Amino acid sequence: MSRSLVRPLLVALALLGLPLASSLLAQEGVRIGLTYTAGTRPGLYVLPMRGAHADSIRAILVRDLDFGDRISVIAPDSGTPPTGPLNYALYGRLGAAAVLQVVQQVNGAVSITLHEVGASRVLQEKTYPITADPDTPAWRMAIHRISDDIEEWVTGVRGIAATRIMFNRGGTLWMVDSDGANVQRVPGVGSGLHPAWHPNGRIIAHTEFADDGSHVVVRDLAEGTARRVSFALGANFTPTFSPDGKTLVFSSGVDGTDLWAVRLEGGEGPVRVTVGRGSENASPSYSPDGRRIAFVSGRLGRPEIYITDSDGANPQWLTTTGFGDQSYRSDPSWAPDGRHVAFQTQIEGRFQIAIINLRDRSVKQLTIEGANEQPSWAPDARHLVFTSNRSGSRQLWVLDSESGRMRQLTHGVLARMGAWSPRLVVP
Amino acid sequence: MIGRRFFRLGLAPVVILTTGACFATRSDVRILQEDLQVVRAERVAADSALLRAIDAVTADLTRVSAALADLADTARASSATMMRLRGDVRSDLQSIGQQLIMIQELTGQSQRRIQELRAEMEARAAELAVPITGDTSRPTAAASPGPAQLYQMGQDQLRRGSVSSARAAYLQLLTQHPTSDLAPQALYGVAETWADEGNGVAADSVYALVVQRYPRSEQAPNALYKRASSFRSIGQTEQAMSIYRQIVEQYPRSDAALLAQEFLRGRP
Amino acid sequence: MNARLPMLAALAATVLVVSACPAPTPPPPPEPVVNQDSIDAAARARAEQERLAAEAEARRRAEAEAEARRRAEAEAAARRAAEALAAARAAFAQAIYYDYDKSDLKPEARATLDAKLPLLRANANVRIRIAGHTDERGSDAYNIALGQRRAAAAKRYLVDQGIAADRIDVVSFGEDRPAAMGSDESAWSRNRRAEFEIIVGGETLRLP
Repeated sequence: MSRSLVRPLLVALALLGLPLASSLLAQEGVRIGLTYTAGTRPGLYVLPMRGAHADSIRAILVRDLDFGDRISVIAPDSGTPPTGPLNYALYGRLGAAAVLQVVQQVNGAVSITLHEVGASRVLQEKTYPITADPDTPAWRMAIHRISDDIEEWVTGVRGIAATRIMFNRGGTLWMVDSDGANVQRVPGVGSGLHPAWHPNGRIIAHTEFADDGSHVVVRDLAEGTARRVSFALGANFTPTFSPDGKTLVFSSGVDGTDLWAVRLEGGEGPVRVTVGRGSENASPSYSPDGRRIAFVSGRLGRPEIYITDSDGANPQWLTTTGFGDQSYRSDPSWAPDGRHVAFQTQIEGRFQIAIINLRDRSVKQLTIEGANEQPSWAPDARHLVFTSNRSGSRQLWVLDSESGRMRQLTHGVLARMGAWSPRLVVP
Repeated sequence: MIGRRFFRLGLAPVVILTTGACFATRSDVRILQEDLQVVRAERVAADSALLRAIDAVTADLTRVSAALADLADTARASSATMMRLRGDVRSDLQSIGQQLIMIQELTGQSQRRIQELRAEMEARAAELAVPITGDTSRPTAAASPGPAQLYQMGQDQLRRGSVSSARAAYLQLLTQHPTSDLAPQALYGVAETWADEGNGVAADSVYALVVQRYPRSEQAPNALYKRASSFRSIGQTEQAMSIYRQIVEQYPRSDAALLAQEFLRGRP
Repeated sequence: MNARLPMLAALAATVLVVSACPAPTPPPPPEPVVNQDSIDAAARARAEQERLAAEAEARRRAEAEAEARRRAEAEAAARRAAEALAAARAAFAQAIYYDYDKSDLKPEARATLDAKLPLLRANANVRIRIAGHTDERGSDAYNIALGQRRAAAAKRYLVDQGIAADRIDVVSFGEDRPAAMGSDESAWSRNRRAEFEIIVGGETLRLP
């Protein structure tokens, strides 16, 4: 790996003779993602930058683009920004398809220039007025949105940096930014499990334990208001919003539980979605068109994944793999592009994350190490957050379903039930 | 005896009154006194006999009531046993019911699985039928997919959102294998593809066709339920309710009937 | 003062004599001296008063003792009753246990439930809550449904034995409130349970 880098670096030294080159040499190996097949991910050279919070901004951008798993980031971590026109040929030889120039203005605004190496031209230029105070969560989120723009310009697919993951820790709900920073409690929540995001990213739903059973609560994060939407005593849990945001579906029941749909803006009363006849039916997850719902059911004795029309008609067992094959499969999450359903399946007594391709019902197991549960798709339909005990305690991890790359998202006190937000347009 | 004495007793005052003291002799008085004594003694005897009888009856009553209490205890005990037995039987019945439902489900799922296997077999057969040598005289007929394969193709395409290829697969099944037992499901699938595309009118007419052509199929109550849902979504509640009632009456054991009942609840 | 002493002595003697006499004591013969007469009468009156006071005191003391005894007995009885109640409550709280991924009642569970019936029958005002729990294996979400079914199975059994359904609430906490920590069968088997709690009428419990 290092040998392959040395030659272009020497060329760079000869051509530039700049301190930048020596810093590059010192930083050989900063190019991230070399372990993956070359050619599949465009290289992006991130130039050194100046400004009051240059280091923070650049660190956030580089990390976001790396975590996106679609770009090979080449980022020497010091040096001076080059002046004058860019030597595109040099960056091409360094393996970069694009070069990113970032400048922080005196008023705090951030200007981005994206160069396309192959065409030797400026691809995009944009200045982001950032009003939030530096290093606050809102400021970080603003930088994350810049990352997502850059990823979209380079790859054609929008990134997922400006998202959060809500999870259960110590009986209540917490949130963490997609890069693992900014861990904070969700205000106003007492007991909180099974968090779910409204498609607008401002409203959430979750399960709440009380002395008289469990309830489903819908909470407006911006206004700080909350209301119980479960309509009967008993077990009420695992809420999920329909893609149009108008309906909440959750599991409810006293002796056996079924899925029920509640219109959030009023109108008709709760509508039954499953006919469990006394069995367990839970963990609904909508298809992106809102016409179907994947869920777990114990109607055959062991929990398995089913798909039903969202009006309750035509439920079908999804995870058939063979006669007499009754595993323990649960916690389905329908990918936002509609192509896969992720779930947990018991293999040799431990849960592992798997995805089933809806085109041909082929199943791909994504984890091996430790016990891995509770998958939730990122809005890019490529990354998943899940709970794993591989580090010794249950923590949230992020997995790239295409490359298999994983990273630990949370540390410290036990964390579980991660729910990945939609792309957030609010701080 | 008693009658005469009573008569005499009753007579005595009359005699005394009528004859007057002047006519009454000493012996008369004595006789009367004796009579009175006899009467008194007899009354005492009668009274004590009565008392004894009452005592006896009371004793009998006590015995009877004790026996009744025993009986009540026994009855209570046996009713408790009955209750327990009934409870046990009920929970046994419940678990049998659960098992029955499970068996029904398993049968349904096995049928689906058999379909899938049939689809696979058809696919393999088609592969094998592809001529290995240079003989390409009848390749299309040999490679033509079977009904199960077509149905599976339709289902998979539908689930991943490829509506038109799903519809093509279902229609191919219906035209090439019109008598297949998958035909009702394929027709239902065609309706689904229209519904997924947002063409409610087309979907509704095909759902109606499912009920008309295959009224005894598993898909008939589902198709009716779909029709009711679309009526409800455009505000034609009465029409929807009448279909819900139809489902409950004609297909009382279907899942669709249970779903329909939720909408009929609280309505005439 | 001193001159009065013999008189007091005489008086005391009189009291003694008087009190020694059997109940309907005939009045002592009047003293021959007229003056002495009235003095004696006063003394007698005073003695009588003192005697009454002493008797009242004795009675009061006896009553106090009796009262104390009664109170002690009552306290002991209350203590015994409280202990019996506590024992009954503890017996009532006895959990029942289930097999892995199952909600049907094992024979031991039925026996434990049977033992709760007399208390429920003797206290028609009592309302209880059955909480279903699971072990840590299985899906967190699915375990809430499983815990609910376990609690519901216990309730169904009690209702079948004649306990009114509206006296029994059922809740599920899934795997979130384990009774035993650890990741082995001994912990798991103690966590797959239904717990029983009296939520109304627990203070005025009558023993069956």
